[in-house]
Amino acid sequence: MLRPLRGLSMTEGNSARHSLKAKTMQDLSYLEALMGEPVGEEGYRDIWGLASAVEGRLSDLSLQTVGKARGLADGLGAYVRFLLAGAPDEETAQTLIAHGADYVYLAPGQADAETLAAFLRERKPEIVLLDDSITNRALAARVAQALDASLVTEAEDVRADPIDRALLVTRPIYEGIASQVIACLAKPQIVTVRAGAFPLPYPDRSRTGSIEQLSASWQPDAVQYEPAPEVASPPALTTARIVVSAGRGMEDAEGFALVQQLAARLGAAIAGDRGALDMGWIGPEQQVGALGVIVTPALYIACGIEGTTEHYLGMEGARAVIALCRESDAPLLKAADWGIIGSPKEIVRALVEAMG
Amino acid sequence: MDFSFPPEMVAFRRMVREFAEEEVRPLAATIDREDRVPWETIPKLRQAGLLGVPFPQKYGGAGLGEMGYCILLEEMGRVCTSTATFIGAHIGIGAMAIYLGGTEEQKQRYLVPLARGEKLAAFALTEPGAGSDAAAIRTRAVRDGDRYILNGTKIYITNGSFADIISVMAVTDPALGARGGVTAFIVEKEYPGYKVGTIEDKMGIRGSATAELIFDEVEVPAANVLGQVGLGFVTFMQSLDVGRVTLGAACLGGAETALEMAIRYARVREQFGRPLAHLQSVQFMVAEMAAEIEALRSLVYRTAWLVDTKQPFTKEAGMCKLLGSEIASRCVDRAMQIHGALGYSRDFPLERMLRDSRIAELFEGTNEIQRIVIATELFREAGVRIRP
Amino acid sequence: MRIAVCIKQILDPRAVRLSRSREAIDPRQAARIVNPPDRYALEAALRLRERHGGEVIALSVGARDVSDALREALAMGADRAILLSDEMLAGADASGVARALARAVEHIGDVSLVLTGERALDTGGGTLPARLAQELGWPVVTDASEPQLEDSILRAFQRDEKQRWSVSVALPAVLAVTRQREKPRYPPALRIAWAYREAEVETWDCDDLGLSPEEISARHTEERNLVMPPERNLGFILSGSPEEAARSLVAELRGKRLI
Repeated sequence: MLRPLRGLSMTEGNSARHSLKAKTMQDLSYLEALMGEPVGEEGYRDIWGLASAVEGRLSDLSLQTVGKARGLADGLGAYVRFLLAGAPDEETAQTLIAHGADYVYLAPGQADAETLAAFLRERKPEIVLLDDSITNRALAARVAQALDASLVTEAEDVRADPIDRALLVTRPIYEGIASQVIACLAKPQIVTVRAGAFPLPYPDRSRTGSIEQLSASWQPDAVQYEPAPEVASPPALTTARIVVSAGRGMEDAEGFALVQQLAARLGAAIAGDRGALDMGWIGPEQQVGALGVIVTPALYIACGIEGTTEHYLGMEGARAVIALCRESDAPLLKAADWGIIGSPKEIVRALVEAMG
Repeated sequence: MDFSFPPEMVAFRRMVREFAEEEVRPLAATIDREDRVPWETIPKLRQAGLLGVPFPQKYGGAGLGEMGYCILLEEMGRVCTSTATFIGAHIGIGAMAIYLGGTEEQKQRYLVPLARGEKLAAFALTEPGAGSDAAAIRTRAVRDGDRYILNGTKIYITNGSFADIISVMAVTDPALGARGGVTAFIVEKEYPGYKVGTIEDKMGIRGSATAELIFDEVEVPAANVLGQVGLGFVTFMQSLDVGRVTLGAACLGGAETALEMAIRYARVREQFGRPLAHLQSVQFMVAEMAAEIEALRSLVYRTAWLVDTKQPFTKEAGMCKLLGSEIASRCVDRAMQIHGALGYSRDFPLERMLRDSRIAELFEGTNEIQRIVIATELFREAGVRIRP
Repeated sequence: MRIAVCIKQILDPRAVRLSRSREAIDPRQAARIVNPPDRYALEAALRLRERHGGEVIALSVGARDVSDALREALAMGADRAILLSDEMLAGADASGVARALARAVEHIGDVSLVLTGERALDTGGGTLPARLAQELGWPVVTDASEPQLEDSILRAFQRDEKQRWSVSVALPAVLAVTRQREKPRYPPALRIAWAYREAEVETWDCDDLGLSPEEISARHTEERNLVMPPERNLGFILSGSPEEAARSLVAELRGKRLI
């Protein structure tokens, strides 16, 4: 059951078309000749994407997404067409092209589901890639529901089955303990791509593509958004994704301040071992160990903690552990995915710097 | 035979476990160190309806019977013996005495607010000269028209320092003594002449208040006689029986925690180049703990079933208390042995659990009394009447 | 005000283990529980009811044993519980489930707010709230917290990847609630006893909702194999000066998307 959509307000504006460079894009006719039929099933073809330009820039995620779209397109024999929303200009459009897009359609404003669904219904893309974000997940879900499309969110990997062209998308399940491969059965195949899932493509400034202005009018959002003051609340220790934990190896208050900086930089909860409690850096409610709190973060960064069994009992559930230790025989190094041996103070300082 | 819990019990345990983990465990060390009652937990217990679990709904309870009550105390016993003791004294013996022995009017007036948690209860039997030998109590109740005048002192009364409603045993006929001369009364804390005396400084269960209660010419309306005049022991022994089952449940919880801690530690602590789990001495300890816990669990919940299906359970209740307290003490002791010096640290729960577990062998009838209770029942079944 | 809360029964994600040898999820230790974010949604609904009056109706889709999740909702304070149960729904994916739930919301009638958890913590993709909104033709606010009602305008907070927003939307609307601040209440013992012994969970099937098989049974995606996380290789030491080691560590962490 598809609900009637509001009038399609977005069409390619011929008058506004200002194609810029000679088209030297991929010619797919050889593929079609080889297969004896148009590429893609039921007229669903090409890879579409949606990116948003903010203050003349595209996010790294958007560039990763267009790079992935390019890779899929090369494998499948397809064009990469991107809708560029937000405040698009020619320069951002060129950036998209340099990173792999063939066609860029300028569609200023905030994309909405009704208009996008209507547009995609008309254009019949084989694949639609979006950056994974709270907003785009909702957008993609509405569009997928309206089009009876397949949708996979939070993709960590996207491959196309070489035989039937179906996308095989990998996404995390059970809060990340494993990942599930999901095959898309319906077209369009919509995927939201997680940040960092794919490398930043190398821009090729000599790539050419077409830029078109759409006589776009996205529908206004029924939801009003206003910036709200931040409520400064570090994550609770027991539910934090990242825990940064200090030990005596941080030496003094200055050392502990570095640990706090590192935690702030990562949005992590601050904790410590029994030594940190004795030093007065943390309260008993922040002490990790059998004598204190048991934590199960995705990442536990132990700064200047040599590691006792007592401490280990408090953090053994961490999915990844980093140990910054002075001594090469520190017990915690054996339980850590990564260890660095040296002055914990200097290492933490270097870490904060390396994170930029 | 179906050993599975009905769905409402599964859901109830899930709720209580979450409550215990979120609200009770974080305070367990604090109230022990500060030697105080977990006041901040009591309104939450009331809101979650946990202060009247076994009583029928018409008396303000949850209607979950002895089985629900055992689940409550097992889960509380897992995280905090003091809180389990507070609940046990309130529900299990304080309010239970009114539920089992009270008139309809007394239940409406006293049990309903207790079950709702609006008022808190205590149970006053022990005296300086009478503990296991309950018949030796000296608190006197003398009839004066439509009231009784109470004089005497009770000691070691759990919740005594703050209880609103106290079930009290007093001698009404010294000549008859234990056989017809002792009566149970309901005393409100506002009655003139009722005073809280010394608060005990205890080795364990420091988060539960144990007080001396002084009755100095306290006037109690005759309408507050619990059960029949002269038959106070019958009333009190019934509620003590029920309390012993759930005390076994609380011990079960403590023993489970000790076993879980032992396994967790033995898994990761390395000595002689490998985890303790590979040492046979440790394996034996863990196996014995698990076997005893499994036996205790079966005993406790089978006895709860006897209570809920209105079958005799005095003998089994004594076994729950006897075995429960001994198994809990042994399990905590073994867990401490496995933990070594870490377990002896005052910052570690085992030290508190060791101090807390010892009381269960002493209160609500010492384990020696439990053996007598069990033996008396056994010989009664064989036609022999044991005389104390 | 009539509020519908959509809840899902899932395997307790804290107790789910991986079986590397079988490359599968090992659910043996995991109890079936109400998806934790859905309990926050129910709590938000109960608070709105306490303040503005009305009725809270819990909705779920699944086999009969899912009624336990709905009984938990009743125990927490929901006024009614409705289970959409039909063999046709057994194979439905997120699209079909959203369609069935939307139809049920319409069938209940007079619902002005649908609340649900931000996502199902098992295998959920977090798409249900928006799909449901699409089916109902209502606006949706995802990842919302602390909903408040003022003259049929719903206000809430939303935190996206960059910042915190104050959002407002006219009812009717769909709101997906995050796990924040206002913790779900403990179901009172008395209500647990009532919910599991006496309360009625209404059961609706596709006929009741006028749903045809084509509308709900189309499969859009198919689950294939699991990908196990790589085995941890413990004890790896990064060498070099503190600066070099720190740089390679940051690169490793970014590569593994840990930061």
